[in-house]
Amino acid sequence: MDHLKTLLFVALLSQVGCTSKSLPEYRVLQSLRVISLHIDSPEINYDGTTFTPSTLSLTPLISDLYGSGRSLSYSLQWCLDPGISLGATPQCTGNPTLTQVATGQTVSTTATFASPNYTGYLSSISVNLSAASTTAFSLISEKFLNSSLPEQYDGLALILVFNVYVTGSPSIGDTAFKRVVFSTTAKTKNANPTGLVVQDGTGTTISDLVNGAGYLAYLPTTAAETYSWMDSLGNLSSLTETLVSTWFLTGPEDPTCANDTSCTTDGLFGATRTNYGSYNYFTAPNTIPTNRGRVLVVVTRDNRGGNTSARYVFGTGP
Amino acid sequence: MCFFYEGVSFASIFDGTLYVKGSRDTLPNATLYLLPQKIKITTDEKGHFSTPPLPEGDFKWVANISGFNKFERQDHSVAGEEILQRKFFIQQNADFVYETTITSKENQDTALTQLSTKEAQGMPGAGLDPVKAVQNLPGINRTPGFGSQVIIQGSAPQDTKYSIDGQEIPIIFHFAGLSSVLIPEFSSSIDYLAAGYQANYGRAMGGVINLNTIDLESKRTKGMAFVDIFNSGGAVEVPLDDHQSIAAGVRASYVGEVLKAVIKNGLTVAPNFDDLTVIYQNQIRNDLKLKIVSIGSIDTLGFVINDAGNSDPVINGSFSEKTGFFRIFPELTWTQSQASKTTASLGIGRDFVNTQIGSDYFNLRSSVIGYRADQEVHLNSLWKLNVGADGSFRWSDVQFQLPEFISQGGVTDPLATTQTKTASILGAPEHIVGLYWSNQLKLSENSPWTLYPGLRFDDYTMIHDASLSPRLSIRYQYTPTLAFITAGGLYTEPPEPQYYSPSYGNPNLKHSTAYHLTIKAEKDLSESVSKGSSLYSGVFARWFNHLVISDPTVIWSNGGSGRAIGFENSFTYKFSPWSIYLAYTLSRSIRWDANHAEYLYQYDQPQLLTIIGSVDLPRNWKISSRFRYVSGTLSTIPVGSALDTDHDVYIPINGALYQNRLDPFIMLDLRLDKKWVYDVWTLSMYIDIQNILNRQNPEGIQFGYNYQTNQTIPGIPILPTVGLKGEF
Repeated sequence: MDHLKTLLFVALLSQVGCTSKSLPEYRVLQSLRVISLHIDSPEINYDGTTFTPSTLSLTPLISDLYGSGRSLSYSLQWCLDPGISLGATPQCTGNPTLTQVATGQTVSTTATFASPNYTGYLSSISVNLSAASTTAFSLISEKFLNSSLPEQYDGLALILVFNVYVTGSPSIGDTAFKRVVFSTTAKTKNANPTGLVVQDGTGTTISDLVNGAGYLAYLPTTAAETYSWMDSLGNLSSLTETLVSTWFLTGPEDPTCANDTSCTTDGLFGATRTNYGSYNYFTAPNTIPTNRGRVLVVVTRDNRGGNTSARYVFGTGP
Repeated sequence: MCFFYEGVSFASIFDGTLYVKGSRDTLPNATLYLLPQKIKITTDEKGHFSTPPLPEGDFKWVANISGFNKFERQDHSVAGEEILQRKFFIQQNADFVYETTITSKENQDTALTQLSTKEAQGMPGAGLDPVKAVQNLPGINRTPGFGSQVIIQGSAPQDTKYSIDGQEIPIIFHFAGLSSVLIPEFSSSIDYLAAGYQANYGRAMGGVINLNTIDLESKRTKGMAFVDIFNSGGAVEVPLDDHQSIAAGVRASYVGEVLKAVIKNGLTVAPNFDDLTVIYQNQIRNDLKLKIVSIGSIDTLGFVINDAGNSDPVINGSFSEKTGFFRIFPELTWTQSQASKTTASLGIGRDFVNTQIGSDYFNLRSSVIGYRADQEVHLNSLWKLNVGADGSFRWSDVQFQLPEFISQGGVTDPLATTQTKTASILGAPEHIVGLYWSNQLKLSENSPWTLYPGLRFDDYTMIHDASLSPRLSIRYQYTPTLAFITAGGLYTEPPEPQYYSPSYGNPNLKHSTAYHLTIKAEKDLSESVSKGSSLYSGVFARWFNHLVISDPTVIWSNGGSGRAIGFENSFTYKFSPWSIYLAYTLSRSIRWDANHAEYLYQYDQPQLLTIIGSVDLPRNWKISSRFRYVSGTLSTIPVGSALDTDHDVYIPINGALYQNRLDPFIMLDLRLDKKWVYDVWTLSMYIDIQNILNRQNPEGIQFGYNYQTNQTIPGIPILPTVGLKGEF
């Protein structure tokens, strides 16, 4: 408890201004980074030998706002979860179930990842789980069959590790991973939330962030799912997902700019994360950038591995 | 009372009492002179005196008592016999003098350093708290950050055990280490037991901090009240009759209300602490004494994190905590003879913790009965034997819903990425028992050699484990003022409950062990309490095994090892009115396990330097200052990170553990004391300025959201505090 109290105390100090504000803000898109990884099937069936479906589609959402269109490359691999929730390093290196999907692939521009904003979705990557080695299949099968029935029901996880970097400079980049839960066929599989639309306080889809302040809300077409969870004794209980949205915005974010008309900024949100149904207050910028647009990205997660996102661009560029 | 005179005509008789100025303590067996009559009178055991009939005319009272200012008072004897009443208040001339405990060092644990509360309270930077003054001693690591524990000679914070009169208590400090839990006026001294302590204590691989409560005096009612910017309180001691007394003291803090008013954004419940202590003492017979100490302590805190932002998404929402305990310690001391004494005590009470973190929680209710019994026997003039037992029964009721806390190298995985565990546990009673056999042996009556062999057995029933720990100390009194000492042995410690809990940890854990070895020299050149010097120098070494470490396969395992070595020194020089104290420790503390080659331990502090100087000025003024230099805190810098896209947070990828050392801790404190001594009461004032240089000492590191950037967390800025205290 002493360690936890220290963590909380530091968080409090940060909030009340007892630490300096020199660290970058999580919600501000500036450097090369992965915002989200979307998989078409966050949970799949497994009968002890075969995954169904066995081919998945992974769509990365990234940002390289100030990269000026530099050449980027990526790699993708997957493996059995090494026990990240128990403190294992989140990587597949050295994992006997490692399967390489792509290495040194060039990142191509897309309709949304393009000049001048370079913040958007990359082309989807096909992941064929059947391409794993015999050893990997054997280890995955062994792990699953040696798990308890509740663990098989609730699911184990594969991790897909995606690394994007500046071509020729692998130290400049970002790494992200996405879990794919595999569980017994008896269980109804988790689906991604869908239909994320960001609206203003009048119920209208937002169109621009420059003119005045206003409330922003989100309203997924598909509400939170209800699902079954089996406890260690084999008892089933019905739970409901918790949908949480994270709000990202390009550009510098300086709270002092709210009253300084000479500042160039993309605006300021009240909160980094909001729960389903909650509003997030937005303060419009005083002076907007002219050499690029402003990109708002909202990612909603269901805390079970499913996610969806919405992307809005205002001003210049796609 | 005695007197003499030459025959003259008689006049008045003077009847009176001699008191210590500033209190109502009387001065027994003190001599008064009446001049020019050259009459000498001596006060009785109650400080009362009575003169013979004095001749009419002027005369002068004169007293020249050791430790007191010279007293002179003109008076007049009138014609006609009558009894005139007088009360005289004589001021001590050593109000600020350190009162070190003068005990025969041969008759105490060779690892013991004892500070009198009065000495400890006067140290700058301690804020009148004697336990905080212990942190000035050599070998005591500075607790970095906002910790509230005492770290001894390179060991872990949890390796230090705290007790009051030998009975264990769960915490020694209130929230954030602002104040210890026992009101200082009820503490007579603090025991610090370091490497090589004897068999009568155990279950602590680091050492022991024990507070000794005062013995009440059944003489008069006395008390005090104080106020400073953090808290205020008072205490009173009342004799019930000539063999029993009762005392009560209470403190209430309000620093939280000040913080809440200043910090407008965040605090919902002001951080406050309160404590209450009651002591009852009854000298039933000359050979039988009963003492009952009761103590209660409570800390509260609450705040709201409105936007986790860069922080762990789990650390969001409201947080509140209420922590407290109370204990009743009845103690019976029976002295059968000069060669035999029995001491038996209990520690009965409850502990509670109520913590709310957003939707997660941790609630603990624990009942405990501790016991301690010691039989001391002088088998002959050369051999003193102590046998005894100490232990506790504990029943705990725990409900929690918490994410697992995984940390390596001081870098914590985001709680959002770890598993949340929920449990409601009504635990079976846990029993720990320790049995010990301790000896003090002189080889001959005049031998300079004294041996202290001992053996301790500890049974940890909750983990089905036990240990047998031999201990040995040897003292060689080279000269009456120079002694050489070596001490060592095996020390064991059970894992903390959260580590062996079947619901949250690994129930197959066993106890951890440490071997101690220390060699030291003590030179005492004190001529009196206010003059002389003393020097202490020694080396210590500890080897740790079976330490509890994080293990992804079994959550926790006994796979850790370590060692700590050091060279510690202290020098005290007193030449009234000046006093200088210097403590320096050079040390190294290392850990390793199956997954990590040797690395510097988190609390490794190669250099600790403390210099304290003070000067007593006329009219009861005193200025003192403390300078501290401590090697910088160690931290681990991740070599990378990965975004957990399911939990919306980056997980650090650690490189070598604790490879980064922050800038050193340097602090200068200044303190000014003033005392006004009136006839029956005193008023004290102090101004204590911590960190007068306003140096931004780095206390830790805060990382950016993806661990690619970081910034240091500064410690306290310049912190002036003012306090007033009245005593009667």
